[in-house]
Amino acid sequence: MLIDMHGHIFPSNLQNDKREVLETIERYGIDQVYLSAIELTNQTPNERELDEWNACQYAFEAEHPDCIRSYCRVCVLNRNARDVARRGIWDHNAAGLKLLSEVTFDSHLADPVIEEAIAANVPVLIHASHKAPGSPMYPNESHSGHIAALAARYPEAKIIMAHTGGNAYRAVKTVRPYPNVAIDISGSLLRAGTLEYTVDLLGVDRVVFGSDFPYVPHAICIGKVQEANITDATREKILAGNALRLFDRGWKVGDPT
Amino acid sequence: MSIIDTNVFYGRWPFRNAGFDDMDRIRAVCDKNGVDGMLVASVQSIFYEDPFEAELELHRQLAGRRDAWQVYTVNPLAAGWRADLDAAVDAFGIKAVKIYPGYHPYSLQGPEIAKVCEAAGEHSLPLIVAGCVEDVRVTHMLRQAPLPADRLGVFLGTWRDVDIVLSNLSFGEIMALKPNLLSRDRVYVDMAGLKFISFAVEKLLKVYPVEMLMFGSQCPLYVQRGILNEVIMEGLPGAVQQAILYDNACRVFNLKHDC
Repeated sequence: MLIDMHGHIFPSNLQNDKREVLETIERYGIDQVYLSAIELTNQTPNERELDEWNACQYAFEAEHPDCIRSYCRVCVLNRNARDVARRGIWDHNAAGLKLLSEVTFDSHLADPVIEEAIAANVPVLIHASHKAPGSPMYPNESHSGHIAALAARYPEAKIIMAHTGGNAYRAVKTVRPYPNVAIDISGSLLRAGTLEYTVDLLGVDRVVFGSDFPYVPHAICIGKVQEANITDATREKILAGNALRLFDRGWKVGDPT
Repeated sequence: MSIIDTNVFYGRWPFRNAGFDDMDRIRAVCDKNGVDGMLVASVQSIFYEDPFEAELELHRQLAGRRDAWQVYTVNPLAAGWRADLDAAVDAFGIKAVKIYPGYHPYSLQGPEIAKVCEAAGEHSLPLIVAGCVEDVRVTHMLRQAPLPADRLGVFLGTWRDVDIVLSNLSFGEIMALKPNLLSRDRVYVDMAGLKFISFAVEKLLKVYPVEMLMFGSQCPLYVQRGILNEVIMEGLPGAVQQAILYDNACRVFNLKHDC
């Protein structure tokens, strides 16, 4: 079984993105994808924009309910953030919440949304980055330290730190003490050996497969798992088992894996 | 189908331990991915004050192997590089010259690189121009200078009689060079930088001839299988795969491979 738990559509490029998402699912035999609607050029969407984006995603899921699940994209700067999360989870059956870069997520602005996720026991996928000085980044990208602070504050929250935190060598040890933080290996960083490094330090149960497609090729991300020097059992957990457990609303942090 | 990876490293990357200094381990990765042959460059040659020390070590590692060919790294700011290259071409069975303008401080329009191009031409060796080797987002301690498209474009227009392989360029960088790439022949791109857009090969082939593309992954710095998937998993016609994975490399690097 293959689950890609980190993908997107951009509403500004909707038809092309939908086509590439479906093409990727077909070519790679993906059983289930988890997508969120975002725009990289707008990290702080207002209430109307966000409603439109999420509506695009929920409609896409409705067209392909057999293989597409949705995150509800929430912007914690908006006054209705908690309501958006609640509507996404309960009215649209969103599998999780997606937070990007409107603030660093050690901020208490995120608290009401995180509490909503805890109440529904759905995971929160948070963009993370650890960019080298001088390389381009968004103003408020969270790094692993921000996510660790959030995880410490809310030990019941099921948090997924995206992109291996943007740099495995800086991020993995930072979140290791927090069992409620899982790591997804999505993204275009293609450094060989980092998946093994992550599994060694974090344990296999806290690593999930995502790609960030269609903006990062699913091809290169699945290659990370295919090539990694790990056991088949570990590979299966990363590719599907761990995601199934994290998205299971009956499974709570601390329950047996 | 035989596969040749035209962009493989040997040596110890200074900033993390990923098994670069073990040819058996590199071979095992290639075996796992079905890669038969590899063109190998030395990591240490990028960083050593005298790159020839590292080239000698690489030669020792590759001696007797039928699955690997040496790519010779030139830092034109290093003393005596031309004499070292002249000696190594035949003695080491060199298949290409590689330069790293992002790490070594010279201009693509400067006299140093002109001498490298002349040397490559005199030896009938392709010149590999490395773009961004380590992802700039995770650069540790040693930053690479950017390789501006306009300067690269002028460089391509200047050295039309040399076979030039552009390595590690992103899809966007390759597309930005479209006027420069399409207006000359004997220029090629490898795939190691194709990690920011889905179906990149398919999209490039709408613009560029298949003879221009070749498989190169920058293994083991990067995940070889990830780059390879962009050819073998994307439903490309068999002849196209054959060209990208094998034929183009054999032709450009003059490889006699009997996989």
